[in-house]
Amino acid sequence: MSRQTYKMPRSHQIDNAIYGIANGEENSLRTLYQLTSSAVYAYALTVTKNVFDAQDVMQETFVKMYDAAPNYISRNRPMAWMLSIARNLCMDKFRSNSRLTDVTDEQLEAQLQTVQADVTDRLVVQSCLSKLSQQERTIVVMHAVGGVRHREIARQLDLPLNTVLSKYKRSLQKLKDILQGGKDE
Amino acid sequence: MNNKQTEKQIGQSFSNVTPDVYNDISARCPTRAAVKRQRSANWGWKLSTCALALVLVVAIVFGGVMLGTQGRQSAVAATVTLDVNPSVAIELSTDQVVLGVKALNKDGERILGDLDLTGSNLQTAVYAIVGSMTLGGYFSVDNSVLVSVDADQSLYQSLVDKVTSEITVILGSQNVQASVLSQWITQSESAKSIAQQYGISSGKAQLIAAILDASQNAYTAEQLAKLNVNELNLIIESLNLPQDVLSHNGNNASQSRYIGREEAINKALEAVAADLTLSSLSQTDVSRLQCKMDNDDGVMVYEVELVYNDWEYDVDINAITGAVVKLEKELQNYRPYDDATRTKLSEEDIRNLVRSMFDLPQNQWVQVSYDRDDGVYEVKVNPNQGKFYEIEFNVYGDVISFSEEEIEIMPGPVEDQWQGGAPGDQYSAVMNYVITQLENIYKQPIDRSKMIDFTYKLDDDYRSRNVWEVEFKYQVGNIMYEYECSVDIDTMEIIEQSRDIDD
Repeated sequence: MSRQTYKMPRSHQIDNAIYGIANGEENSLRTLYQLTSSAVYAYALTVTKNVFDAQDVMQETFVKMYDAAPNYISRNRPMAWMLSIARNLCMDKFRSNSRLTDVTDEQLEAQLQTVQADVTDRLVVQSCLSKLSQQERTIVVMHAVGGVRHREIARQLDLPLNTVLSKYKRSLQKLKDILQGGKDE
Repeated sequence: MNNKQTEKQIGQSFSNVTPDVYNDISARCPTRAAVKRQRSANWGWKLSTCALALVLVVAIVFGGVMLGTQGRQSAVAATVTLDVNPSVAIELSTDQVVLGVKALNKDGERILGDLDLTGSNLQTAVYAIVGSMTLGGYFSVDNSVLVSVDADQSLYQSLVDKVTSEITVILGSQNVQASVLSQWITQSESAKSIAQQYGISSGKAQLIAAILDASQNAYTAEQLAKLNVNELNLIIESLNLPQDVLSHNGNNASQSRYIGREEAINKALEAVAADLTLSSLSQTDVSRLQCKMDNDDGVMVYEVELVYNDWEYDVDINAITGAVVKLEKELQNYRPYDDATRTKLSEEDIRNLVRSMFDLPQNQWVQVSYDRDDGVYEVKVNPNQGKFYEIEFNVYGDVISFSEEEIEIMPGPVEDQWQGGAPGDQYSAVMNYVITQLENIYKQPIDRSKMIDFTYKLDDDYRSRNVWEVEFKYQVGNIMYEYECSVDIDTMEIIEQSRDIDD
């Protein structure tokens, strides 16, 4: 048989954690949380543009995912699965709460001030949220934070791959300019 | 700041602002009773078709019935991990009943399939797992197993003895002489970080950390993480790992996958004879002959060293194909000297000398640099497809060191300053093709010698294909363009490409 060398890809680690949860294994939830919480939070933040709502959505996503784990079927796209749960929860929030989102940039900045993080981190997050369009920031966060491949993003957002790639590059360039220009932006 | 760094920064920043709500979530997720693990249906082979599997299943059912499930509620008292290439962890209760068996990698999942070993005893579980690995073909050429025990040290020896003897018996019945490595898991920080980074078992990670230590970092963790236990075992044989770090049942790692030491030495002697234009060379003609196994960028090689006359040779032989991967020679004890009767050569003279050595045309690129301190010309040239040479000449044009290496068609991540390069070699052919395609797409001729920040690397997005990601910048008037292109170098398909304005 041919030689098998193996480095476990992230998607596989996530799959394993979800199986572990389904299987009642201790620590699997924590592992899944460590692997995916920042991506889920970042995604929720790009959709809701509201720190508090994003935190709610993140919690709900994990709880929902925990319930759904026994029925989970891996298609090697666990991150996409989790983010689709998060997206539905964001939509629920929109429906149930008309006040939601479109906080002003100033309100968002004030919210971010409550987060313990350094200046650069806040600048990056705020720039993503206020300088990029909804679609651009979703693409950036899914790939840069969630590690979702461009092809998969294209499928999820129903966009041609080239569009995703060019939007991604353009967005990255915008952020790069902002970061290099310091806080003048 | 380049794109990759920006990407990394975004990932980090979002991670840093993410609030930690794990405890809130955990409180809302009630502990769930163990449910049979669901799997996707595409795991290739079926156990039930094999006779040995029947025996295993009987053994497991029988073992399970005999031992009941008295251990189920107990806490895990010890974990025994078996690494071959499949990695599997067996969790044991205080009375050494199996509480659970976990696959730690994909091969592990494949060999476990739907086996439920809960409630059986340790030997039965080892028997089933190793038997399943045998059926899966993991011992058809290899014979190494790493046994790692995470338990109170007082339990260590008895657990290792049980597991080792079980493995020896099963493999013995298949005429395989098992080489069993065993270690006590010490939970070192270095091993933990390797395990996490490369998604491998903590046992394999600890072994890799030990190899890195003993070899004084002659390897990288990334390189070693890709190897199976038999390959690691072969490397260990050339190192002196202390007994308290790793114990060994005394059998050598299998080399049956490889051509063997004698054959490797013969191949190396042939190569040296050819280099010296001798008709043949035997072991008795040379001195300081050494041969050990090593891994060179993922390829197992025999490293043969020998001295003939004043030349010290270092020849790497591909352990599977027997091909010469690398040939290096160096004049022993060379010191620069002055000889008034001989003419000192210029850089251009050296360039011409090299062209005549390799029968190259006048316009062939030959990189020559002069090291003033050593009084040596250093030359780099890749005159033909797949070979790369580095040669040192003294000022009179005598070769004082020489190295010939195969160019990997799949280099690891590398950065380069390719600016047209040598025509004819595969690397340049790919690059020229890519750039010609980009010229056609954007209707913009590109002067190869004026490209800036030219880099290429293997594109990680396409794990199963040889895809190169080529990037460079190119100025047209006042505008600096950034080109990116991914090309499958086996089919020459341009998979993705883009051009942006870099400002």
